[in-house]
Amino acid sequence: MEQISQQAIVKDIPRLGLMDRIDIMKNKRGFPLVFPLSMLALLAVIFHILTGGEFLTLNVLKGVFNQSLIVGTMAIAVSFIYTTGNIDFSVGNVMGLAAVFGVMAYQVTENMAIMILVTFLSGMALMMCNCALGVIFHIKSARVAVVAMSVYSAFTVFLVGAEPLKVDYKICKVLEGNFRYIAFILYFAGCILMYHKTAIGRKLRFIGGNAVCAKQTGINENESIVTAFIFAGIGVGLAGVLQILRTGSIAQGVGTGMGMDVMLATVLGGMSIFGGAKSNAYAGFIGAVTVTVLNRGLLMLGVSSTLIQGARAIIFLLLVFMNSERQSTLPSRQQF
Amino acid sequence: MDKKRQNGRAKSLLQTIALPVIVWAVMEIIVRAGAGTSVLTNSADLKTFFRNLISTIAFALAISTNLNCGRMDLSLGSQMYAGTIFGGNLALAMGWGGLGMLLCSMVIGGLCGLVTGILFINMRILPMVLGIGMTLIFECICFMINRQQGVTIYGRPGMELLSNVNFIIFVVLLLVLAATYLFQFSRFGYRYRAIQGSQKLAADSGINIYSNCILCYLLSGILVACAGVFITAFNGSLSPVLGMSSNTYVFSNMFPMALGAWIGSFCHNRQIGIVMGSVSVTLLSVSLSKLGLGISTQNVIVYSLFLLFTIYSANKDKFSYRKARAARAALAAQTRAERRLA
Repeated sequence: MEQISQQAIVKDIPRLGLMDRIDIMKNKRGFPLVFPLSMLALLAVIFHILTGGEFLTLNVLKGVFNQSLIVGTMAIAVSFIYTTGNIDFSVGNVMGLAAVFGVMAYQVTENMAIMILVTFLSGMALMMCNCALGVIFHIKSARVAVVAMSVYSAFTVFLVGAEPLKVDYKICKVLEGNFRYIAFILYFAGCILMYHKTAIGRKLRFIGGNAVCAKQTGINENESIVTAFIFAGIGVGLAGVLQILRTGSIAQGVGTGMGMDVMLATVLGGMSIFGGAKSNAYAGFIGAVTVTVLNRGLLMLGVSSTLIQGARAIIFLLLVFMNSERQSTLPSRQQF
Repeated sequence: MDKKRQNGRAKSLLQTIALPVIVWAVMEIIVRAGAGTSVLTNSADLKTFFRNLISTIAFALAISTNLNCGRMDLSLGSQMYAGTIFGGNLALAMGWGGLGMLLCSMVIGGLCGLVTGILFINMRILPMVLGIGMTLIFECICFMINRQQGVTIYGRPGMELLSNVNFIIFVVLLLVLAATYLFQFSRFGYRYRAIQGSQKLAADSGINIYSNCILCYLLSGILVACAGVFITAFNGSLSPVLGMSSNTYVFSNMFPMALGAWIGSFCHNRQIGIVMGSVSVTLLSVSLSKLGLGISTQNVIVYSLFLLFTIYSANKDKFSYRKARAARAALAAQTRAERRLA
């Protein structure tokens, strides 16, 4: 009798389908970190096999890290803004204009420390301008980004002119080595701490998850958005410095399209560009490394750069599709 | 009542045409003072004006088609490249001339839009994110065809039509009439406006939101391809780009689109508003060129104005609130004064 009832109970438990299991897995806490990292590892292993063991070597990995440093830094920076549900794709142009100001300061003073300081401060000031447009003038962030992108890009072209602005390349070479690694690691560690271990990050995620609820619990939305832009400004300033050190010169098109690369990296890293409670500070960097691994791996396999772009797009769309929740109606968002 | 309605119509007409007229008048004074000439002096100026105008109108209409429903399609620039390069090369190979190129490009642009739309309703990922992916794909395809040469129509027979002012005006009128009919008077437009209000309510009331969305993507693809053909005719060629550079066209046409939405609120017709917005921005650009300013300086001026307009449009309710409050205060003061006298 007892055996029969046990069997009946077992029968009554609904059997979970594959999609249900995937949904449960997606909602687990560690998923946003594990999924993009697994994809990154999988890509690296696939390229290692396809290239006959040439991919996972110290030189290649160092190159991948160096290449993803600038976009990665900006992606970490901008994740603070994305988390709150705001969107900013003008960061590339902000970085470009900040770098222009930095190089101009160097040309006047011939002092590297002043150049770094000016680049940092310009990056922060420009990001604060974007912030002010949103917080003080109540303009939607996507609209601010479109306007800012156009204005900053026009100013960059205006200031640079036909010839690139140059910095003493020898000094760049000296600083390029350890300085950029130390600066990046400090910034990354600082952001992770701020974002995941302090009330600042919790407030940002709360606002991104439900702004009305956050407001009703006493969180000052404007104050948190300003904080987010300050952190983003520091990162964008740092990316400007890294950009100058990498090339030793700044041309007209600096930073153009980088805002889109940052968005791409963020989404590939497993974070929504529309923020929310599940956001994190590391997604952008993982995404930036993934994009670089993909580019480097395909290049090593002899694929043309044009096809790499196509392959990158297909993988990008597939990963986003796999990582997103299917809505009952069409996704839309009034950004303008 | 009729007089009141007539006055209302006259007011709305004046508000609709006010901005282009003001821009023209102000720029006329500046250009006369700065360059000693007029904004539009000869047929070449007129031709430049209309050539810029048509591409601006078509692009701004295309952006607004999806944007009004909360879908920011970042792939429009790449759809323009795909439509124009494929359609242009096909028309050139077949010897179909300017009209053939326009039609071919519009068909292929529409197909690109259709593919994006179908992918959107099936994948249901955020439109901006899908736009990034589709941009990369279309740019890649454009780069691979015709040995990365894009399309060159300079000096090719039959292509003069695309620079003919009368033909351009005809296409502008056709576009505006077709867009006005589609969005204001057709069943599609009725459903579009319902979805614009609330997608959920529209779906619950039986409107097929998916087919409407696909049609929007199709229309915007057709419109950007049309813009692309006239941009190509203006420059003589169109070279493919990589790295999401095609987005530049989307962002640069946001200003006339935003102006159009604002003007459209006066005449209750966004399409007419977009035409007026495009006329204003094109007049401004042509005038700045007349002053001999470089492209970067022109961009700084135009985008700074865009910034000011954005600040105004985001805060206009505050201005009207302050105005109403001042009127109330004045009325109260007047009433108090009258009571004192009584």
